[in-house]
Amino acid sequence: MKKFSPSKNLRKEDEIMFFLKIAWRNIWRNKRRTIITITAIAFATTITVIMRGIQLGTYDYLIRTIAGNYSGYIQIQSKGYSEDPSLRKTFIYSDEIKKIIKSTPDIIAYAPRLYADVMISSGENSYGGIIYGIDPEIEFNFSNFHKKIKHGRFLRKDSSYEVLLGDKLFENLKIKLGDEIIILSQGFDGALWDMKFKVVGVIKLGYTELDNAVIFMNLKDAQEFLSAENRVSVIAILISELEKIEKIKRKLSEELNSKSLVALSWEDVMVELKQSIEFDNASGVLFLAFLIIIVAFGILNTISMSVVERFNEFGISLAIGFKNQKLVLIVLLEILFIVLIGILLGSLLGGIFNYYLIKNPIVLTGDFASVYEEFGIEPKFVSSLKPRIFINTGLSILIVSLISSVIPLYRVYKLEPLKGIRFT
Amino acid sequence: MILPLLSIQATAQSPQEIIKKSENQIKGKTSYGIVEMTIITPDFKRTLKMEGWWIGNEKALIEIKYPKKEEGNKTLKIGKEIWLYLRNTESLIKIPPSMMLQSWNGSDFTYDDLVRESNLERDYEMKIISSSDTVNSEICWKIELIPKPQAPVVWGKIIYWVRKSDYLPARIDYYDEKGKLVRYMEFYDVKEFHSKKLPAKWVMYNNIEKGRRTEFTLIDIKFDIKIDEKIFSFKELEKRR
Repeated sequence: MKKFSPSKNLRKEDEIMFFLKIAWRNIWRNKRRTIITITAIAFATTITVIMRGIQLGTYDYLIRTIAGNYSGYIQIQSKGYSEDPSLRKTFIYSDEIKKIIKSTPDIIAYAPRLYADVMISSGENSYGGIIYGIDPEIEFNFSNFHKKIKHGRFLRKDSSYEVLLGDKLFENLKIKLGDEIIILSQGFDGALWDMKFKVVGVIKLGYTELDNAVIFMNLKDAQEFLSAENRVSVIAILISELEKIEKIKRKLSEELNSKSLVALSWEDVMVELKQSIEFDNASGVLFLAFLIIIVAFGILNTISMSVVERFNEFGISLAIGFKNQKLVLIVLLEILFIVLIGILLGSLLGGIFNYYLIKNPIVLTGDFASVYEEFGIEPKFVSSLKPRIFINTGLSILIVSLISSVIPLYRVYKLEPLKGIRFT
Repeated sequence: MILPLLSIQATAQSPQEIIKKSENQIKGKTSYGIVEMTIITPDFKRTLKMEGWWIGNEKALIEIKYPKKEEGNKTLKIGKEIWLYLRNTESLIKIPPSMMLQSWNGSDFTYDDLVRESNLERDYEMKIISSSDTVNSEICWKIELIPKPQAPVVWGKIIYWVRKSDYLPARIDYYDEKGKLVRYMEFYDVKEFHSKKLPAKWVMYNNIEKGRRTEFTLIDIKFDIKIDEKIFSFKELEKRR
């Protein structure tokens, strides 16, 4: 008896090899049907990989350009600033805070900024404006504001009382470069204060809301004008990888908590951007879900056909003592072969396409482009090769395929020898 | 002449008459005053001293006397327009329509509040809710004002308390269209100014941002004096006095 047990084990392995071999041969008995099924699955996979690639790649691109320029991936602000973004909620930009930021790994740049709502006037024409008090030297490495100059020049670190105006605001004020404008605001001390500034440049950020109102000036000028010595509204921070945002945000928040400061991610600050990404993402996923479901019906159809077609031979196999379970196993292996080949092929094709798109982004024109331009970013499709695209796509197609093969498998499981033999 | 007046006194008065009488107590055809404005918020407190001239609802000039930093800043109202004269830059700025809802000198009043014409009798339906309500231990009429259908007003409802003893206003509640109490003004400290009795302290409480209020303390006020219209001109505005 002892002699049999190892050989029994061996037989089991052999048996699996045998089933694999049969399944492999079976799928190639009807080449055309198999190829059509594989093509359908590969097609669905390719489309899904490409669409997900463009979606995730473009989101990354949007986050890097919009959040990168305006909010930073992470920003430090006073507690309560997001509910009441006023001068009262600014904070002292101390060396201690600088030290904390500097000692945090993965932070590649940070920019202190002071914002304030003001009124700007050229005499007859007055408008509401927003001061962006920035450090020009730091912004060179942080944002691309200096690349958006339309006329004139960017701010200089060492010159004082100069401003850059958004192009629409500049037009509305009906002034020329080099003219002086008057800015009026309530300062940190509550007093209404007015000062003259020289317009040295016009900036077109491409973001209508800002182009209508933005007034860039040196941080130190803004602090002096607003009686807010050393104060800033936010510190915008860039880090090396978007994936690390949550981790670094938590770390900074912990360290800054005692100073009544918080670290927020771009998602907390630019809620609109986050929501439009989420909405687009959801509609993309929905579309792909429909696509995969349609493919699933195709799989259901081919497998049902291939199973029913072979009811005769299954009947005979059963009649000579083959077990239903083993037949089910063979059919299941056939399905797995077909689906896996399809997924691999599709991932490969999709991956090649995505790689090509990363190297050669599609620049958009027309209606699409204008939507992007409203946000002041170059209108282009960028793709992505993130592993999660391939893993998620492969798994969802595999699972949907397996679900759709439950019915044919069940029919094989319930098949009786005589019914199979006589099946027409 | 006197008889009909007496008969009205004797019978119940209409809410319109009460409000009109009350408004007339605190307003004149022209007025001149020195006022201290204190802005109180949870974060800080700030006092400004101002001198002002009014001609009815049409023209007004307010000049800041204190603090030093803002001394000489002037606000000029002509009809529906507001102009600011800024001493530091010696410039004159017209407040654009888009900025009219901004705070005036950091107070709980907007530029729009300064220019909005308030003609309660023309714009509101009035109803006496109570004839014996007490505000700060003074017996008052409590009058509800609901805007007439086409009236160009911002409030959804106003509740006006008028002191029965001297027809001075005691409290005014301002509600928005949704029925939410936005702000309310209380009048305290009745004093005599040039033989006219007036509340010397007016406090506007901000009910949206709790803890914020703007207090006006009248230091001096004169009504129906002669005001030279010239002072409301731009030329005069830029003159430093």
